[in-house]
This record gives sequence, structure tokens and C-alpha cells, in this order.
Amino acid sequence: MEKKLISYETLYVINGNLSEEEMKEIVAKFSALVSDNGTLESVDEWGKRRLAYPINYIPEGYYVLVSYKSEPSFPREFERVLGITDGIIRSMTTKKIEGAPAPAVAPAVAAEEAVAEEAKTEDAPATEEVPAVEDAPAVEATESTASEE
Amino acid sequence: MDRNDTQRAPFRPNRRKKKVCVFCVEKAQDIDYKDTARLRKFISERAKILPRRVSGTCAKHQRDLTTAIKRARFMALLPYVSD
Repeated sequence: MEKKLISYETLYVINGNLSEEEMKEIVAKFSALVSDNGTLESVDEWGKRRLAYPINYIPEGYYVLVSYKSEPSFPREFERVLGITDGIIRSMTTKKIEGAPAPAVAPAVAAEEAVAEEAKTEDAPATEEVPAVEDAPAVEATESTASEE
Repeated sequence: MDRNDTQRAPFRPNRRKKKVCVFCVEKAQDIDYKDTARLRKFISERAKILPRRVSGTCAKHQRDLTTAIKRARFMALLPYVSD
């Protein structure tokens, strides 16, 4: 039977209290594990981010996003190894949806910049929307007069 | 017998602007749980998921959105509670 490769994406969080070398070691280890069991597509290190809530009293985490193609049996093994590795606080694997190219996810700092940019761009469409809003009540007004007649 | 119950309700024009699902507009295939800047628009100040009547998303995308927010929460990208 032909082996079927499926695209997956795994995001894992390393304990932010570890030293740089320890983190690099972990990232290298998992990158090697993935390329041994499938084709590694990209390793995106988001860097250190503040966790939305402390996990085991750890305030910060180092986020790493790995995308790869592998057989359907591999993600379970990958998750298992992630689960028993010290220093990994969270991990999640999702299947990539075919046909919809995932938008490039901006790392922590860039994400904040993107928010600022969005705020700027929002100003422009807002002025364009104004006539549309005015249109709506006008239509309603004609409807109501028609019903009264 | 009273005929009141058969009276027609007075016509009231719909004052509120009809909301259109933002994900339908852009024909979103899936909602990415990693896109926190986006997801933040759909949670309240207390970090609750906004109901459909507020956000205006369609039923299908609200379901996708809910799972995306819950995934983001698990990965500590979004809070479960906040004040």
C-alpha cells in the first residue's frame, strides 16, 4: 500500500525559565525527530511570549511552530514524546486544511505591530462605510411609508 | 368572542442594521487558533466568547470560532478569565 502523507502543524511551548542552550537543544531534537519520520517543511520560532495565564507558576513560554508532512501514525508518537519531555509545557497538533493556504502567522512582536496596522487600516474603510449606513435607513423609511398608505 | 387576538401586529421597520458574518464575507475555510489578534475581537473584556447575537457570525463559523478560541486558550495564547 502506498504511504499517504498528510500535512500537520504542531505548536509546542517550552518552559520560558530554561536557558537559551536548553531551548535550542529541545528545538533541534524535535526538528530531527520530525525529519526522521516525515518531511519537515518549516520550523517557526515565535520566541519568548508571556503566557495568557501562568502554567505551573511559569509566566513565560517559548513558542515553536513546526509544520511537516508525515504518515497519519506519526503525530500521535510526536505528541507522546512531547508529553514526556521535561521543559515542554503545552503542545498541540492540528491537521492543515488542504486548499486553504494557512496565512503566515506573525510572531509575537510582529503580531502586535499587525494589530496597530489593522487599527490604522480600519480608519480608512470606516469612512467608506458611512454612505452604506445612510442607505439602510433610507430604504427602511420608504418601506414604512409604503405600508402606511 | 374577542377579535383582538386576530389583530395584526403593527408594522415595525427593522431599525438595526443586519449583521453579516465576517468569516463568510471573506470566504474563510477555517479559523486559525494561532491568529490571536483576530480572535481577540470575538471575546469580551472578561475573556468570554461573544454570543452570535453580538458578533453577528453565522452558526457554522461561530462553531469554528469557538473551537479556535478554546484551542488558543489551551495554548495560553488567550486567557480563560481576565479582569
